[in-house]
Amino acid sequence: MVTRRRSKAPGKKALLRKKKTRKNTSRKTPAQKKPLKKRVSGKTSASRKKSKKKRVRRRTGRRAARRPTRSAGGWRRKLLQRVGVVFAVLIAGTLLYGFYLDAGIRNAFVGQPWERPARVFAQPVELYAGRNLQAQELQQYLHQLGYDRVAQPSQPGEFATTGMVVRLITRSWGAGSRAAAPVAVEVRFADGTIKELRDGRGAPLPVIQLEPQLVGSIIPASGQDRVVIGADQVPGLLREALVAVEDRRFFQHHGLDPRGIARAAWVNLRAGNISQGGSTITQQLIKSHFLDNRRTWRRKYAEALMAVALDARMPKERILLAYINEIYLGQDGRRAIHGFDLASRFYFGRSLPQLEIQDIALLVGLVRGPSFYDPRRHPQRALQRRNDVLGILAAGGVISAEAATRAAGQPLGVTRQGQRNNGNYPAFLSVVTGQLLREYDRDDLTSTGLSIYTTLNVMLQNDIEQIIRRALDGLDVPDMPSSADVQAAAVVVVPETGDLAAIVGGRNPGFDGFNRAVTMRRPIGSLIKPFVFLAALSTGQLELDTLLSNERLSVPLDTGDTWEPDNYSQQYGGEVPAYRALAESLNLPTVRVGLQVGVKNVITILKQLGLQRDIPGYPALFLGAAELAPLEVAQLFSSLSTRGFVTPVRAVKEVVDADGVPLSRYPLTVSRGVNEVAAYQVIANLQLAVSHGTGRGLQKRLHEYLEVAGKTGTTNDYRDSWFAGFSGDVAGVVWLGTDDNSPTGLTGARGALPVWADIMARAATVPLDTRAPSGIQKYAVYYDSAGPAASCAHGVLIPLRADSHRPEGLRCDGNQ
Amino acid sequence: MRPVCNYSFALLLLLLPACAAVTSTHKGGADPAVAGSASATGMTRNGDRADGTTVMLPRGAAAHLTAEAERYQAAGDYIAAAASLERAMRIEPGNPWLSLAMARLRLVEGAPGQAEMLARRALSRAAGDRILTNRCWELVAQARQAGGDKAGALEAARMADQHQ
Repeated sequence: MVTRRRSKAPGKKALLRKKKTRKNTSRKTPAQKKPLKKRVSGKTSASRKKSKKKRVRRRTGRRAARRPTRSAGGWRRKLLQRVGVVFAVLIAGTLLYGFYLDAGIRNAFVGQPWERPARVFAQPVELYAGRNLQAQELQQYLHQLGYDRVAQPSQPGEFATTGMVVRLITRSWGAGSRAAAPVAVEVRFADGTIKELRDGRGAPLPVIQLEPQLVGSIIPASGQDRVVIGADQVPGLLREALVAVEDRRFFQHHGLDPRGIARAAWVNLRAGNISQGGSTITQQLIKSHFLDNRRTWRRKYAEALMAVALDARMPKERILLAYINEIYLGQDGRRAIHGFDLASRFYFGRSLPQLEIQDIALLVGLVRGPSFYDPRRHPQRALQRRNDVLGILAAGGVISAEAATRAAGQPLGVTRQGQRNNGNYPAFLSVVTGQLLREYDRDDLTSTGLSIYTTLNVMLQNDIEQIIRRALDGLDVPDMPSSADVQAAAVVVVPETGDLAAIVGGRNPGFDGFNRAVTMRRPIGSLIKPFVFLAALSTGQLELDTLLSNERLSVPLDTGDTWEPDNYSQQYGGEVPAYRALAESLNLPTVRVGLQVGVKNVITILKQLGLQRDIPGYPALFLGAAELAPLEVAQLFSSLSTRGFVTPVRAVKEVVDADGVPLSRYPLTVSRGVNEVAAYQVIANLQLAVSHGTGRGLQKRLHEYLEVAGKTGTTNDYRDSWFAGFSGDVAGVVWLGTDDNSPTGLTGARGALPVWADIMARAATVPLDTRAPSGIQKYAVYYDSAGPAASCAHGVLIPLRADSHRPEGLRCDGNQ
Repeated sequence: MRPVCNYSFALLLLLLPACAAVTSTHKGGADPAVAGSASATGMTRNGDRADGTTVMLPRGAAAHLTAEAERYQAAGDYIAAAASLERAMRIEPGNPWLSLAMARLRLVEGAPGQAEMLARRALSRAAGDRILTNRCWELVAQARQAGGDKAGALEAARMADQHQ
C-alpha cells in the first residue's frame, strides 16, 4: 500500500505542476503576483527619474528661449506651444504607462487570481438507527454546520425540531461520481439513541452522511486566508449594500469617480478630518490586490490608471465579485481574513447566504477599518458603524426604513473568537499539515485550493476539549499552589481504521501554539511495562503465571555505575506472578523480565507496533525512561488493542484538487506487529490492571458494561501523570504535567486516570472483545498466588499459551 | 476470487438469523431482546465458548454499507467500495466480518499482502466461529496463491478445511 501510494505521488505532483504552467498562460498565479508588484513600483520609479531629467532639460530650454524673443505675443505663443508639448508628452507617457499596467492586469481576475489555502474537512457525521446520539446533540451540531432552524425545512441547510424528532434537508457536498445530493431526513430519537431514520417520503433510510464540517485551512506565508465564492453565492443585499456604502456611482463611472472624490473632499473639509474616502470599488480592489499600503502619489497614480484599465476590461459585476472575494475584513492571530464568505464564517459561524440584514451591514461596515471596527474588541463602535450602514441603506432605498429599524435593534450576534464554528482546531491541523508535508510542497497546500478530508470526529473533539478544561479547573494538585500551571494532552484514535479521532494539545485548545500531543516528548514511565511483558511473552520467555522475584536488585551499567531501581510502594521481597507484576505495576519484577528479554527486543517490539523513532537502549527503558509524544503512545496502544495488527494512525483520508479530482488517498493498511496470542495476553493483563491493579479507580467511573484495558504511568517525582488504554472501539492516551517539568504530585492513577475515564465514557461505546484467539487456554487461579482456584467462578481467569501445559490447573475456557 | 466476493453478501444475509444468540459488540444493540437470548443460551456477555460461537455479522447501517461496498466492488469502483467499508468499520469497529470484506476487496484490487493481513486480523477476532475462520483461511489461501506462495496457500487451504 505504502509503495503504491508513493508511486502515485509523483503523478499528483506532476499534475499540480501542469496546472501551474497552464495557469502561467491563462491566469496570474500567486507566484507571479509578487514580481508584478515589483514591476509596478520599479517602473514607476524609473519613469519618475526619466521625467525629472526631462523637466530639468525643459527648464533650461525655456530660459534659453526667453532671451532672444522679447515680443509679448511671440512669447505667449511659444509658451503655449511648449506647454502643449509638455502635456502631449505627459499624456503619451500616461498612456504608455497605462498600457503597461494594463498588460499586468489583463488576466488578473480571469479564473482564480488568489492563493487558495487548502480547506480541511472533518469526518462527516453519520446518522443511522441505533447510533448513540441525543436530539440536543444533533441540533447543536447542525447549528455548528450552519444549518438554520426553521418551522418547516424547505431547502438544504435547514432543520426543524418537534419533540424527539428532528427533520432536516442535508446540503450537497463532494464532487464527481461520489457527490452527495441533498436529502430530506427525519430523525426520531428515543433513550439517547437514534430510533428511526426516514427520508422525506417516510421510507426508512439505513444511513446518511451529513456534509463534512470545514474545520480549518492551511494558510500561506502571507497569512491570507479566504473562501472564494461564485456570483450565485453572493446575496443580492450584499452587492447593493457595498455599492450604496462604498461607491454609489459604481455602475456609472469608469473606474474613477471624480464626483465621488469631490464629494469626499467636501465632506472631509466640513468635518475637519478624513471621514470619507473617494476611492471607487475598482480602486480599492486594485489597491488590495496589487499594491502595497503606502500612501504615496506614485501608488495613487498607478492605482488610478489601473482602475481605469480594469474597468475597461472587466464587466462591473465581475469587478464586484472579485472585490467581494478579495477584500480584507479581519485578523485572527497571524491569519488574515479575506473575502466576505470567510469573514461571515469568522464572525458569525455561518456562510454568507445565511446572513441576516444586520449581519451583512456589519460586514459592509467593516470594510472601512476591520481593526478599528472589530466587533469583538470594540462592540460599541462596531454596533454604531453597523447601524450607520443600515441608515445609509435605508436612505438609498436598498432596504425599507422599517427593516433598517428592526435590524438596528438586533444585537451584534458575533461568535466568541476561538469558538469551534470558526474552525479552530490547531492541534489537529498541525497533524494534518505534518502528514501532508511528507508528500506535498507547502505552496501546493497553501495556494492551489485543495480539499483535505480528514478523520477528525468534531463532536468528540468538542466534548473532549470541554472534559479536559473541566478536569484541569477542578484538579487538586498536591505539590503545587494551584492547578493553573498544569497542562494536558490527549489523543483518541480508532484502532480499527487508524483514524485520529480527536487530539488536544493543551488546556487552551483554541490556541495555536505548542502542541503537547505531538511535539512534546516526556518519559512514559510505567506505560512501557506492557511492552516489556509483550516482548517476553512473544518470545516465549515468560508466561503470565510465571513467578517473579520481587527482591531488590542492582544492575551494572555500561558506564560503570550500577542502577538500583525501587518499587513505587517501597515494598520488596517474595515472589509475585507475572500478571500481578504488570497489573500492579511493580518495578522490580518488570526489570527482571526486561533484563531477561533484553533492551533490544523491547525496542524491536515498540518498532513493530509502529514507533518510528529511535530510542536509547539502556536498562532504565524497562521503567519508561524513553521519552515519547502522546501521539506516539497512542499508536502503540492502538496497535496493542488490535491484537498486534498495526494500522498506522492517520489524520488525512483523501486529498482532492480544486476541480474535485482525487490526488491521493490514504487507505487503511494493516501489518502484523506482534504475535496475536501474546498481544491478547497483555490485553487481558491490562484488564486485570483495571479490575485488581493500578487502574482500579476506573471501576467506579465507567459503566460496568464498558470493559476496558489500561495502564497508568507516573515518572520520577510525579512530573508526568499518564494513562493509556482502550475499549473495543477506541484507544486513548492522557498526559498531565507542567511545561517546565516541575513535579505536580499527581500519579497516573490520581491525575490522568479520571480524565481518561471521562473521555472514554464519552468516546467509547463498544466493550473490549475478550474472546480469545485460537492458541489460548484460560485457567482459573487465585489472584494473589496464581494457585489453581477451586472453581471457575472463583479467582481470576488467566489466558495462557495452549502449549504452556498446566496439568494441575483448572481450565475454564467457556466462562469469564 | 470472484465467486467468493459474490457469495459474501448472500452469506451475510443467510447468516443474519443465526445471529440472535450473539454477544453484543455495540451499545446500540444492547437491547433486552439480544441480552435475553444471550442469557438463554447460557452465554456470558463476552461469550467465550469453545463450541463454535458465532461472531455477529454487521447489522443495520453497517450491513447496508457492506452491501453497498459489494456493489461498488462488483462495478469495479474499488475506491468507493473501500470508502463504504471504512464507514461500516467506524460504525461497528472490531467486527471481523468487515476486515474480511476489506481483505476480499484488497485481493481483487491486486494487493494480496494487504488481503492476507486483513484476513489474519479478522482471524484474530474469529473467536472459534467456524464459518468465519473457514472464510478467513480460504481468503488467506487465495491471497498467498495470488502472491506466488504456493506452499503457504496449501497450508492455509488445509486450515480452511479444518474449519468446515
